[in-house]
Amino acid sequence: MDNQVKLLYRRLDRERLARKEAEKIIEEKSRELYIKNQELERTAAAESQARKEAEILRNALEAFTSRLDLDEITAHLEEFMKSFIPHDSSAIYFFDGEGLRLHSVLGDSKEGKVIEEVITPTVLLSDVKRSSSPILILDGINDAVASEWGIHVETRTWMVVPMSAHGQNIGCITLESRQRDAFSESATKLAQALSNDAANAFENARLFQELEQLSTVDQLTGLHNRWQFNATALLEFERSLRHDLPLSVIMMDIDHFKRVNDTYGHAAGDSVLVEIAAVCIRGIRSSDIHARYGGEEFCFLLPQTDLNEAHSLVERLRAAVAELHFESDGQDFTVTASFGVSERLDGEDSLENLIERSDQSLYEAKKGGRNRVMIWKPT
Amino acid sequence: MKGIIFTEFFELVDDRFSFETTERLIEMSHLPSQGIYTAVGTYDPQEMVTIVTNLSALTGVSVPDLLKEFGRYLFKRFSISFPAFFEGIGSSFEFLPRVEGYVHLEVLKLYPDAELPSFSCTVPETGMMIMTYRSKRNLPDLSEGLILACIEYFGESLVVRRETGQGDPPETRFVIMPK
Repeated sequence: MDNQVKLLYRRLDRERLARKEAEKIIEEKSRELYIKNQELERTAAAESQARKEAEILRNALEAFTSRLDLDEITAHLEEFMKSFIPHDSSAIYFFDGEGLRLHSVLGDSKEGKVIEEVITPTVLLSDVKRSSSPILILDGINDAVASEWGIHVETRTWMVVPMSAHGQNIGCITLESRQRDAFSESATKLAQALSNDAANAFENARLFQELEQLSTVDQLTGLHNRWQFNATALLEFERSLRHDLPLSVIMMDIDHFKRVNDTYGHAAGDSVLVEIAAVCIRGIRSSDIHARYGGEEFCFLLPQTDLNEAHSLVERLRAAVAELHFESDGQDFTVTASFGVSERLDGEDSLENLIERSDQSLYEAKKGGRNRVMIWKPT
Repeated sequence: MKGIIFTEFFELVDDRFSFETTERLIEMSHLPSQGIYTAVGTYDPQEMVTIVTNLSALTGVSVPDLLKEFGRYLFKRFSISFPAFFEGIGSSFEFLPRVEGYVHLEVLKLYPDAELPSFSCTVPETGMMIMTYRSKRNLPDLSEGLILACIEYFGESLVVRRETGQGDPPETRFVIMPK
């Protein structure tokens, strides 16, 4: 019996030790699992960040490639930069011969000025031209490169991102922040990727513009393009000046066109342009000169037409546009347009001034509530 | 070797022989682990060899017989602890091919570092199955016990013939067919 008790105790002792060992193993395993879990969380966070960046780039690329207008691409680039890379001001420059041409500045004017001052040194220019990756000044006040360039940087952090299209730097984007060390590595990478996408879009837009200047007709609307308009309009203008004949110019702009694009998509926007152009061509005479002057801006030159005649014609155009019905994905919508009209003044010898006055009237029509016609009156 | 195999083995010794036998066995085996095993731990398989050899000396039952019995015992324990593996299964010929693909997969979830034997099954003709066993541990007797207990579990009248094949350690083919 004694022996049995002794054996039993021994067994209990062993079991106690085994339990302790098990606890140790389990504790170790849970620690391993905890570490593994943390690793997984870190990986998941990194993946989600990478996915987000890929999404941004995809959206950006889509936005860029669907546009052939410099200003639209600029607006989109600025919007993307603003949304995803925190900064105080930005600027876009293009190389122009030996120099650098400021294309646009976003941010407060003080910062804007700073950029212009900073970018001027030719040392920097050649650096940006050669560089294939962003140049970063992390602490503008104490940075060696900045002082080497002999520039005073009021901003703390400054980044120059070269824009490379088809292996050639066509310009650069600068981003400034008043914060020190404001741009992380991933932000820098993102800026580089965005700027390259934008560079290709800019380059395409430039080529498109060149091509457009060579042709006479706007591919989408069938209206003449701006360059063709300027050439033929000048002939008519000179004729009217020579023979003292009346001549009027109508400027037209589709109201809230950006909203149409944003709400119904670019395809719908395109069909709006096409239909309105068709209505306008039907509404004017064959002797009148028409053009798609800008994105959603049309221009008409009416030879031998005084202001009163032009007014009644343009009023019909306005009503016809407002009556058009559009449809996109089962949704019906209508659009309106605003018009500005002006007549060649007695002895006036500048077509540019005439167009400018019509444009001013158009601006007044927009200001006055849109879907209306404004006739230019001397103030 | 997983600690659970050791603790199950001692349970068998307790049941089949006696509590004192188990204690004597542990004492005489001078095990590096001192006989302290936990189910989740991993131990030198050589300890199992020592234990089985010593048990044979202690009881006079041959090592192959002890292993076969251990196999049977493990199967019974397994069928009680894990009824889910048997759901919808009506015969050995249905169950045995699932050991490799299903049971072992589940085991690895719990013990990712377990070194499991491989069992591959073929059906050369209707009513006959050949299960080939390959293991670094080379314990065909234990496997035979498991197979026999499986046949008993389903209440079938099948016999198991053993053939030793090639390899190092050699593979063992269990030919299972009607009596």
